[in-house]
Amino acid sequence: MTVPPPVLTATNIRKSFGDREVLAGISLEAREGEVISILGGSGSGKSTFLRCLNLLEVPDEGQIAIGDVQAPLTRNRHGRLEVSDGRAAARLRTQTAMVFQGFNLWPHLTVLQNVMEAPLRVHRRDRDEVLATARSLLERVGMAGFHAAYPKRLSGGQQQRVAIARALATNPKLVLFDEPTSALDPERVREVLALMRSLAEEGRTMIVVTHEMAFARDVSSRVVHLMNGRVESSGPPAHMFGPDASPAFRAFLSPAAL
Amino acid sequence: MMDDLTLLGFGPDGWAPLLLKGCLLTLAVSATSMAIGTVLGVLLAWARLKGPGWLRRTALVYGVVLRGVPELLVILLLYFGLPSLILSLSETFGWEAPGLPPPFLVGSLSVGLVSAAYQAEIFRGGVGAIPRGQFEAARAMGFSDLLCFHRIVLPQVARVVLPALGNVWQFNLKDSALIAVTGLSELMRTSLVAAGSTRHPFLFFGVAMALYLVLTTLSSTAFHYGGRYSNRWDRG
Repeated sequence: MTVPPPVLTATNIRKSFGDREVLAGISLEAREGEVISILGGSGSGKSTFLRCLNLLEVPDEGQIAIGDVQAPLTRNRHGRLEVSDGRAAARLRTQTAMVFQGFNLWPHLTVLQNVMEAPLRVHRRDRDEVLATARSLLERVGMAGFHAAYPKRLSGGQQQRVAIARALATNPKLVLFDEPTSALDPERVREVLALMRSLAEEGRTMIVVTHEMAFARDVSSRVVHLMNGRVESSGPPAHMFGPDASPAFRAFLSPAAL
Repeated sequence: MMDDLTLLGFGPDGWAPLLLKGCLLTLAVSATSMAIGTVLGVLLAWARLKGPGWLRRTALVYGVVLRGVPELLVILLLYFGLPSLILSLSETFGWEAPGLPPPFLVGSLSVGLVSAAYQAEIFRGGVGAIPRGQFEAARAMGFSDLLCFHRIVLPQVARVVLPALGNVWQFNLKDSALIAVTGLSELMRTSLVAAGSTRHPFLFFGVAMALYLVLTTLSSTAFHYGGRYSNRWDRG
């Protein structure tokens, strides 16, 4: 079996906020079709790490590449990394998509417009083609009847499903999920997780920051445990959720057992 | 009574044509100053939010000064003060002496400069009212800054700022009356002249009041509907 090419390569990512070191050198490679779950306690840096991957946060150190295109990070005269070319960064981001904890749908656009906005305006794709894609995506996420609705009218679970359709509309190489179910009622969590599972099954490359252990165990191809800004341990779920997992990760899974 | 109607009519002794022209001129000055205020206000708001330190401080001082002095003073300074300064400079250096500047331009500019100071505060607050996640969702999908501003920020800011801009417009319209001191025959100046030359001040000031009310009421209605339209996605 040939190894699929890497979609994302992050090398030695470091980031501090003031004196507090949040990321102490994290490397991660995601190959095509991989679903990577990033787990960790609060403050372990998992969301910050995810936000570094599409340069919503600029890391202090490290390198990021999407496919074989290097992120335009260069050192300024104070020795800190900065985005040297905003257009190149934007171009790189067109290859990825992100689903947020707080959905972040654009409230002034309808459901359909939310999904069509990026492929139309950023990728400048043909309108009919974009419309057809948007329709089938909304059908796929179970929101076909809501084309003309504004986000305010939707429940959290519905908004998140639209946000997932929006993320898929550009057919990105990599989808980043930042705690996509943390703001949802337990009942709504299930519908969003089911949708994410079906995306994983169709071979989407996904990096998911989550607290949903069942999702990490059953759906992901690799689980990464972050602790104190470092990769404490990682491996396939069978290993991570088995008897040979690292003590720290086992403690994380069942804090009551400590 | 017949006398009043003749004075307000379109006949040879009637002031109606001049009063209507005054109305149009008032609208034109107000619209020009509003436009100047919007362009400069957006720039000032940008300077306050994103500019480097020195620019941020300059914009702050601008706002404090222009909101802190009477408008009439700004008009007098630009219309009479600045030309006299230039005059004395040109005498010193032997340049050709310039005349008084065009009243329409200076009038619109001075009201516009003050308007910009107020509009800058409104835009700054408007952008601040948009949640961070809105920008992030756009950036994460590869939007350029300009596209994000145009498609995501502007429509959401419009909803927040339109009612406040309606107020600024109403102030602009009323403050344009101060430009009468430059001799520009907008509505205020025309009614002053009419009141003086016909010796019917109550009649003409009353009519001016009614005309100003018509202008402000019509335009605030327009802003109301504009506001409703820009808010269509946030209703129930």
